Amino acid sequence: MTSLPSMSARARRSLTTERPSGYWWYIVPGALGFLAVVLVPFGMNIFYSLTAWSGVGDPQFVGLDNYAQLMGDATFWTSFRNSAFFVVAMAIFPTAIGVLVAAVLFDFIAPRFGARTSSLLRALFYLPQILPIAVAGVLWKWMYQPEYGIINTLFSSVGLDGLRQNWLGDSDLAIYSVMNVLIWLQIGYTVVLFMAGLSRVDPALHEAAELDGAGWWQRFRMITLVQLRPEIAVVLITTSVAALKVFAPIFVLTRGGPGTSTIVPAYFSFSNFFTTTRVGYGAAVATVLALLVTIIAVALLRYQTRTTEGFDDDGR
Amino acid sequence: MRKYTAVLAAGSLVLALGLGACSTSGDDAGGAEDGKTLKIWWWENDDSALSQAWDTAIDIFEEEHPGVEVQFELKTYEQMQQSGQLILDSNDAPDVLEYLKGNATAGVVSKAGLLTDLTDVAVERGWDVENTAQDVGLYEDGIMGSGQRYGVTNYGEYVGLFYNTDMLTEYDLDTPETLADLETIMQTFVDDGITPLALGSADYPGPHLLYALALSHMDDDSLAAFQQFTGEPDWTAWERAATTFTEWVDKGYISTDSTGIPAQDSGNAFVAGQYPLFYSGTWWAGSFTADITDFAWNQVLFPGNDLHPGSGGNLWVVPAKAKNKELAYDFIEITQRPEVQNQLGDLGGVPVAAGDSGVSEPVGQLVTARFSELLSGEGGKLAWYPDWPVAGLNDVLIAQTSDLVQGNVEPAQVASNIQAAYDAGKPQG
Repeated sequence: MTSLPSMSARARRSLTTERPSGYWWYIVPGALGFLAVVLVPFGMNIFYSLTAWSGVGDPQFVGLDNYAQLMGDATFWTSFRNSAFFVVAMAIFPTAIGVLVAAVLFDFIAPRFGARTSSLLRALFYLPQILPIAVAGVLWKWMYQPEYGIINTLFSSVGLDGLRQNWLGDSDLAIYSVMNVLIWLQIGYTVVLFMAGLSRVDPALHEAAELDGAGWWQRFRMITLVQLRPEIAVVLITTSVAALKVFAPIFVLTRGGPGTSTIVPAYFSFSNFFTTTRVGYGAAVATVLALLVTIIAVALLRYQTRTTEGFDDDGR
Repeated sequence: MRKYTAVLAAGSLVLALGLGACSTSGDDAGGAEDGKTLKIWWWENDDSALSQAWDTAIDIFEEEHPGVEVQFELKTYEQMQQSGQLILDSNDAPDVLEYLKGNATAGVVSKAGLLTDLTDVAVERGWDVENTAQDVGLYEDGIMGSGQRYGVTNYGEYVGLFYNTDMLTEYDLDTPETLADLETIMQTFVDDGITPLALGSADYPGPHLLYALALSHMDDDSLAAFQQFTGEPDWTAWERAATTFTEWVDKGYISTDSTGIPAQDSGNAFVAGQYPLFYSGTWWAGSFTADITDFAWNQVLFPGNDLHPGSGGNLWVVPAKAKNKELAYDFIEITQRPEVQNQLGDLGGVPVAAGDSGVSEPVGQLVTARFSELLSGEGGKLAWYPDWPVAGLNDVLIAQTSDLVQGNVEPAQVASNIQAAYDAGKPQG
């Protein structure tokens, strides 16, 4: 009995691999692009990270000096500490809020107010994603402006002057203000993905649970969350990686300031490349960042594969 | 056969990618080698005094060179700051362009051999460049201030104290002549619930104020030590400046909200009459003339100081790879002529070579006369800018002034942080 599937699998394999070499050429354009856009620049980056170079003239080979210096650089560590904050803002919060919002739109808004209302709301949540980040950044900077910004003005107009803050200018508060913008940016992405995921869930599961007397919260926990596991894993991977290499919102909103309170590795690397023209040092930061992102992405991918396999087993 | 086709296809793709990366150089270089094209770049906005004066220079150039086509491209400041050296190193370089003065910018590219040495050109053509405003075009081993000439500026700038004359009059206050006078004025306003000093410490105005306070404790030698590495800078001057800065924040002369306010917003707040004082550069003079209509304003140098932030402006440089250098020299020469210089002054810019009484507008007369005094040393001296000595110092200075305003750091720590960044970036050996 057990030998049958393996035989048929072998037979299938021999069929599909009739002329395997014929298909390799299809990889060539992609492989060349990968070589030109990723591999060669990354190799060059590693090379530059072993040199002292201002961007012009000849690089001087300094071995691992840049990496040794990085280990003792407080700004470098601050940038990674801030990255942890941004993982919370770009991955954890948007995922949690996104699942909840998607479920509310799918289970509550769509049945009562119609699919069009639900689609409209989904589109509104997605709006920040299609807004150019430079535009969104300028808007938020205006809103956060301490003297005439809409947020402080609103507080004053309702007599809550005590709540007025120097949102992006206070080094203790700035990181939370930036996190707020990032959450706003990311929610649309998670909501759209989770809603797509929910449409795949068999409605019979919900109906059966409802007949058994399960309330919305119970169904959300026991059905929605469980069924959305593959989507949640994908969202967590993509958003965590995006959070680790976040650059544009920081560049537009704070440029890493005040002080270094919102600096991130990508901006730190950028400022070394282009502001202090310490290209070798900036390249070392970029290399460490690339390495870290790769490790985390691989770890999350493995986790996703494991949970998806588990999901498939459960689902059978 | 199929194998060869694939290899050919792959080869073409690589070639295409390679060419794509440098396509602009090939396209633009064509037709510019026959002395019939002059390619000019700058980044000043169309409505700025500089841009308008330089447009006039182009008009004059075209009139005097009827067979030459001028190809002008407007760049952005960020473009030139961040990728200027890559552009200069490519065949895409223009014939003449506005370039950032300073060790970290023009200094780096002059040292790398990317700029044409203009020393002999200046002598042959009799350019009037023997004044301190033109020191910004001299570089030796990448250090600004002496050595060979790699650039020529046609305008100047300095930082001074703009004040709302009406508000000072209302409180019966005179123009400040000493630091104590200034503090008295600021205290008067604070006592009446008005924050006196408009400051965008999220931007360059914060470091400029800190530098002015440090300059009040410096002399020519300690300034040269700081700017040109002639000795050990006087870091106690910075600590004392940071101490005064902290006191001013504590006394309410500076708003703690200023860390969230960029330069433009602080200038706008002065224009709106919200603050009586604003310490910043002459680049505001033109827009203040146009925008301030409901009160009188004036400008003095920082009270009590002999040294003031300021310098010649950004440079005209000729890339080593420029195709039409003689035409570029002709253009640079035209920007120094009285008609261009006087127009610059009338629009609120600071000319370096305006004719006697050639500037007719009051704002031009104000800044031109003061700049001339600074050049001659009669009314003080130009002390350049605090971020010039080493690349990246600007970010550190902004971070330190932000922290001072927030009360996150002690004055001694500020001096030591600035020193650390300075030491890390200064030329070795």
